[in-house]
Amino acid sequence: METLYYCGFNGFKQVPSSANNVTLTSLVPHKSASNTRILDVDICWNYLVVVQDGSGITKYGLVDGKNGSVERLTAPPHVEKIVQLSATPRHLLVCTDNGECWTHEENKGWRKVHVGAEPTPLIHDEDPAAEAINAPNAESADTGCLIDIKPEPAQAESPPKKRLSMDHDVGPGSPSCHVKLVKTSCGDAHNIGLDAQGVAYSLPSPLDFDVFPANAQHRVTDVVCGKEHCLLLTEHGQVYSWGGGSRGQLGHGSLNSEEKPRLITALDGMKIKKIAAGGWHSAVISQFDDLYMFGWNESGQLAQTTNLVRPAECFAAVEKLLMACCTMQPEDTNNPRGDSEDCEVYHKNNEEVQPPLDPEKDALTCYNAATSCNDSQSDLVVVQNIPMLVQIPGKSGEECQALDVSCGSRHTVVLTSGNQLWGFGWNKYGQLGLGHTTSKDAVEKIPLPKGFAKNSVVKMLRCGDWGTAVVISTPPKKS
Amino acid sequence: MADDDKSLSQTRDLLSRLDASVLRDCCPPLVALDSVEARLIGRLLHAFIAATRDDPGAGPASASASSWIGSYPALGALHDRIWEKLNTGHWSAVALTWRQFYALVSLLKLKYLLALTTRCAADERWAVWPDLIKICDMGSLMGYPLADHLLNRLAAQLARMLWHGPPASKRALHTNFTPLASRKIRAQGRAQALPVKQDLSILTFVSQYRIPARSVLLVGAMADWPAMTPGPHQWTLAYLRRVAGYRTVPVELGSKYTDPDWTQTLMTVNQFLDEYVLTPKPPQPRGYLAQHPLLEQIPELSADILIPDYCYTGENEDADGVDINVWFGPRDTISPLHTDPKHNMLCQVMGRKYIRIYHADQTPRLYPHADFLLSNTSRIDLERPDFDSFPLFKEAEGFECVLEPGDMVYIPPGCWHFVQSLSTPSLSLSFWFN
Repeated sequence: METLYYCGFNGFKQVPSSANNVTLTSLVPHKSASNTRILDVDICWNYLVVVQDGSGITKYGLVDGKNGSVERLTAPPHVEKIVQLSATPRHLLVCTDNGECWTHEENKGWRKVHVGAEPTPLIHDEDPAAEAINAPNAESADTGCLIDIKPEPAQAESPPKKRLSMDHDVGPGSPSCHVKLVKTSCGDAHNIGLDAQGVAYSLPSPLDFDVFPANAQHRVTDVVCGKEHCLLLTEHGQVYSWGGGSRGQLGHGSLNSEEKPRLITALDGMKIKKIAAGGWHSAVISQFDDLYMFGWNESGQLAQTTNLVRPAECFAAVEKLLMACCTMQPEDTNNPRGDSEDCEVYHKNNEEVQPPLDPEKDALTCYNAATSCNDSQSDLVVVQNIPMLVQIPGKSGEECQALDVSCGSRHTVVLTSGNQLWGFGWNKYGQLGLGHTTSKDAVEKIPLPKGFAKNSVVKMLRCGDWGTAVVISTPPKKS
Repeated sequence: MADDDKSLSQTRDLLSRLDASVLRDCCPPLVALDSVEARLIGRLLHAFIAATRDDPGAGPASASASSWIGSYPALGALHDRIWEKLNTGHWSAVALTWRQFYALVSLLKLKYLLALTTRCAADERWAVWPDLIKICDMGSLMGYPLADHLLNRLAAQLARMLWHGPPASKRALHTNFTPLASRKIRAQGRAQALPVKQDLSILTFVSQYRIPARSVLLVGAMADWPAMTPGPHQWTLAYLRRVAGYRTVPVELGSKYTDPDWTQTLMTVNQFLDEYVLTPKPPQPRGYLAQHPLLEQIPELSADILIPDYCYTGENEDADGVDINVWFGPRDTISPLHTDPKHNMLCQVMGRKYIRIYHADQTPRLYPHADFLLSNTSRIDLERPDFDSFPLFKEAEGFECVLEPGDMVYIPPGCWHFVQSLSTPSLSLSFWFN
């Protein structure tokens, strides 16, 4: 059995069963998205999106202007199964089981991304709406869909003629018919993809970059996207980065931006097996299961000492006032606070675990002071522009081995051997799952949820914006 | 109870300047928003404005569990999201909409909190005002000046209310300090004394200094400034605390902007004085309130100064074209050797500063950085010049002077200068003009 757990920002009822808690500070089961196999999950500011076997894509949160929505999307026309997705507030990008790439925008529905096509000739289509989508518009000039896409008539209304024109377009002779996309990733400034052949795309066109050493053959094995930067991983374990670099997130030792993917030389010589990108920070894991991080450390998302007490952002008197006024409204305290069982945490080996605090009160605290072990202010790290090793303080060697890492806008969660989760960075919305809302600039152990049994396995880890999602798989009990 | 009544009526007065129609005017209409994300936030802000009440006596619309929109945490989440958008991409490339939203969300926070305080006792009300000023200043510094700088005007109003409020609100603000002089002038390399003039006529200034682009020290040139004259407007630490103490300003941390650990942060003038000027605690980095248009932020300070007549010798016919920045900090703040694109009249108000000058003709001997962002900065560290790497620097012809209170130095455009403060505190104003 697979269960999705979530912690972090819940202002739009991303977890419907915990609708009364704006801040979920511990991993809680997402009851609506369980029971069938979870293929992929992504989190962006206003919704959580899940792809499941059988039920397809469901968005939870602020969707179509409605707070607390649970919206199941009908699949794109002729699509059997979605296997991978990435989400921003403006769109979804998905890969299907047969390697097609589609994008979904609210009010516009599905449109197919013709990957690999040269700058696309328009379909000869009389539909003025289609013209509008193909023509350069304000949306694509600003932060809207940055992909050059062709319209896809909705399945129900599509007259046969249009179907034909589309079929022709993807038929033999069209470059897109050879491309089988297996991964997409999107940020504020990029839409990127990866195909089964190991070619990376700045959608919809193949990504042009200079490999190192020149003329070497490189299959790309992964691509990831932050808010304004991207990373790609090759089969040889090299990492290239490009995009915005103002917070050191490219790892080239500067704050410059790069138009084209550029090899991170500080990591060269080391085989990297996993890459992740957060809002303005990056993480990689080496073949020896070591974690390296670079980029912005403003909330401790690199696990480097930083100044989390920002005087200008601390409003102690305001918080006191809000607390005082909360007690002036006794009716508010009678509101149900959701399933209290959800907040209980699994106590492994009787370790001391901080009890969950009152999430409503916690939501009011601004930047809580981090308990930093280093008193010397001169060692503070705000921007780290070359990769730096992050030690996981596990009790055993196994616990120190990083297997997976995922980054939200300003936080990081790491999975180590033995199904242990670790987190650091911004925690105002409980996204670290530590039972409180204090940001951490050092690696902290994340308590596993109560439902985690001896034979359970952490199957998937996904951070996005202000939330963390974990899929836990537990084999059925033998009768 | 008189104090109570007064602060309550003052609060209601502020609230009346934040009624729903004003806020609606501040929010860009949805049809004008050209991106999905901006429309998403814009809709939420509109919903928030609709959910707040104008009657201050009623307090904010009670945030029931079912309508999170309308609650203070919701404003916090909107604020955090807009802040992230402001930090995505280069600052100059961030869409204006996000700066408008940032200012608007600050106004909404202010309105929410002011309304809450109408139900509090006077002392609780006063206790919140410093935080409210911070909210206004943050919104004003990072946001768009909506409704004719409404946030900044509200901050000024709150600061005045606070000053004239009850004695308890004037927390013990110490202005005692041991005047500290720098142990030494840090700039190495030879230099001769800069020409010194008194009562320099405008004509002579133009013909002998401005046109040939030569620097000059003008002593005793600010005697007519109220800021320099004993009286209620003389700039002292006590006066600055009174007028500006609760206002938030940007502060540079680190020895100088060319250092790798140099950063900027925001804090109130009081915090800056307490923690970075009067009693700095090493190894805390040095703090410098540098290149900040404080007189724009706090217009009442403008009445205390006079723009030097020398600034009107070019295209500038009125004060509009003159950029005035404040440079305020403890001893030994360093501005490394650099040039500015405009004419500069640097005026010393409090304390002393050392200036090293190299005219533009010395540029080949000063090795400017190749990097575009730092191309106005020399690679020579005047504190530890590396003559092996930069051999021509030995021949550079430099000038030097020490600015005393009331002195000003003219620095032509493209003229290299290094500045070190020699005293705690030291406050200068730079007047950039064309």
